Amino acid sequence: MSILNEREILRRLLIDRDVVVTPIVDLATQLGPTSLDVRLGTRFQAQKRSALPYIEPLQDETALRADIAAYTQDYVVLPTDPYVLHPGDFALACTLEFIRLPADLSARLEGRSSWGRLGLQIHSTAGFIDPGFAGVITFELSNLGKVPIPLYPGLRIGQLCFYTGQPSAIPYRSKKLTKYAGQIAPMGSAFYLDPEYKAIRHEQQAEKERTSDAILD
Amino acid sequence: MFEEATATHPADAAAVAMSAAFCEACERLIFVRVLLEDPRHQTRRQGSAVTRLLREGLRGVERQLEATRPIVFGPGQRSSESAPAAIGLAVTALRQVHIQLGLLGTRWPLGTADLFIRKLVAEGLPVTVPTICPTNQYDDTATEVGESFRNRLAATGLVVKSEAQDTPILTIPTMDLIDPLSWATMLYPLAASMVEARGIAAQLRRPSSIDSAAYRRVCTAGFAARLVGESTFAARAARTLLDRLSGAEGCTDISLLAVASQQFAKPISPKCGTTVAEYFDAILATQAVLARVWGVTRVDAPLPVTAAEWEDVDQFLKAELRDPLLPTPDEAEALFELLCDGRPINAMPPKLPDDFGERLDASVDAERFYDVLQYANERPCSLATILTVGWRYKVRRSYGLCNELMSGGTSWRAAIDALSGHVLERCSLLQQSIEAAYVQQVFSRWRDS
Repeated sequence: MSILNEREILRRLLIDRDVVVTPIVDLATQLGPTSLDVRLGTRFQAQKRSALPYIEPLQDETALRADIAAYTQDYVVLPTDPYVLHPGDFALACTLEFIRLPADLSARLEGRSSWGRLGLQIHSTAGFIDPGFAGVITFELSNLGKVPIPLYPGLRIGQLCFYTGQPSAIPYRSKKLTKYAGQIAPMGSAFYLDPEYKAIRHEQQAEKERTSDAILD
Repeated sequence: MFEEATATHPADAAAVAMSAAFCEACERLIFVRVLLEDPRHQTRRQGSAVTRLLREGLRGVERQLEATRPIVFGPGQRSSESAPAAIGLAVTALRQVHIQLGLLGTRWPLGTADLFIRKLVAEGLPVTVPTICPTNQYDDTATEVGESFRNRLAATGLVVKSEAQDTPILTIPTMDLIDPLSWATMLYPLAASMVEARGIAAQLRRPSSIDSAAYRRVCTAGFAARLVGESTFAARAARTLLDRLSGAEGCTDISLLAVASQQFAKPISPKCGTTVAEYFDAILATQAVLARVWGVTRVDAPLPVTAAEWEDVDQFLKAELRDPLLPTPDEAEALFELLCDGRPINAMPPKLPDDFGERLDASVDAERFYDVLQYANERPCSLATILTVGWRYKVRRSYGLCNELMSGGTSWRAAIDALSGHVLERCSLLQQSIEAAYVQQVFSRWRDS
């Protein structure tokens, strides 16, 4: 596995065209020795206070989605109006760029130090981009600093590094369980779709049946 | 399919008109279903009961369309007289479901629709950024909300004066918030408010020409056509297809807009000389024939505008507004292929010199590398380009897929779900295209200044 340098990135983008990153606004500013800066998009999903004690993942999916909707709020922001991330706040956002990777390339998303020094964290878990991924990349924005940070669409808040490897047999969209494939806006967590919850529900149901059988006996 | 639309055989043309109307009805069904599936409704007490009620209504619409499917697409159905009424019934019911969306009490965010007209302004067009309001009504508004509101008050005897610097207020049906191609319907009342605010009709009108209100409508059509080309006509024509079948008047001045749009119309594909404007014009003309034969729809008589009057309006508007920023045929086809590939069409790929590869390989130092980069940036697409290619994609791919699914042996559920996936992906890609192009334009304009 090796990391692509700036000329290799450019070759894959513009000559081979198997890597898609669009729009490319200003390569001279965005391209680094082994990275490509990515920009903030216009869509945000903020979390708001609600009366929910917690999100129960084992409940009916309609009720679950309603609970999630109760504590999230979606925004579309103009390029000249900021989304202000206050200290301690968390919000989802996404890249301005639509990105698509071939089966032999993966990418890693990292923050840029200019923003890190203000306390802006752009992801906690969304840093790895699988081969075959297509869509916008989600930012998991947190403000760990002490001052509110105004975030305008178009700002370069992240950078991608690209890694080559052997072509994957199960690129992202071919994987058995892909919850966020093809997204063009920040999607809230779909943790409740994990198959482990089906196993837990199954076991809970089995326990109930065992308990009622014992009572009848 | 496009050649059939302009065919002279009435049965073929009628079949194309009905299949296009059926496709439009299916898309509207899909959009209302997405709205009802929004989990935010369940966060309010009245949400569950109202959602259940509206879902019942929507299931009724779906059953009606399912029953209509063999009438429109079955073999030997080309001369079916019952198709218009059957589709019309589904659309009338869907309008009722849409009207009752207000009972949900949900605040519908504008999302990318708010960026739509701002992008036009950012491209240098002399239009005022309007206030956009979602509405549960589905009636056409040819005039801006403020003007029609003041007219209604005046009809009651109460005269309310407008302020000179009023922001135009436009409405958009809630279900259309999902579909960027439908947003172009707003450009007609926007054009009407611009024509009124600038007194264009009063400046141009000759003493012997049609009356002033009619002349204003001609100017509005000309202005609207210049904003994004034939996409405004296509959006209003697609809506009129359904409106007329459900007994509503349909978009006013559709024939004026068709004439004004022709000069900006381009072929749907390299293999088909028909333009999107001609395609919908032929379908609407077929509907007019159907109206006379079967008495299902109402069609207004066209306004008697002379060629000289059109020429006057066009010459004046040329000085006021540049031509719409439309793609060349090669650009349109390249962007169309991107959409087919599941990619947004926010930017034109860079035009690279033939020896770009060699130059890149030779760029072993910073100076030579940055020299190579000057060729590599993308150019943001104009709104007219995005909509033009979007409409071509809808006519070629979306209508094509709907015909294929509904004509084949696929079950109704499988067919509508497959169509839904395709249509919603199209809408998402076009929304992403508009957002990204708008932001890119802001930065590109600064960089190039």
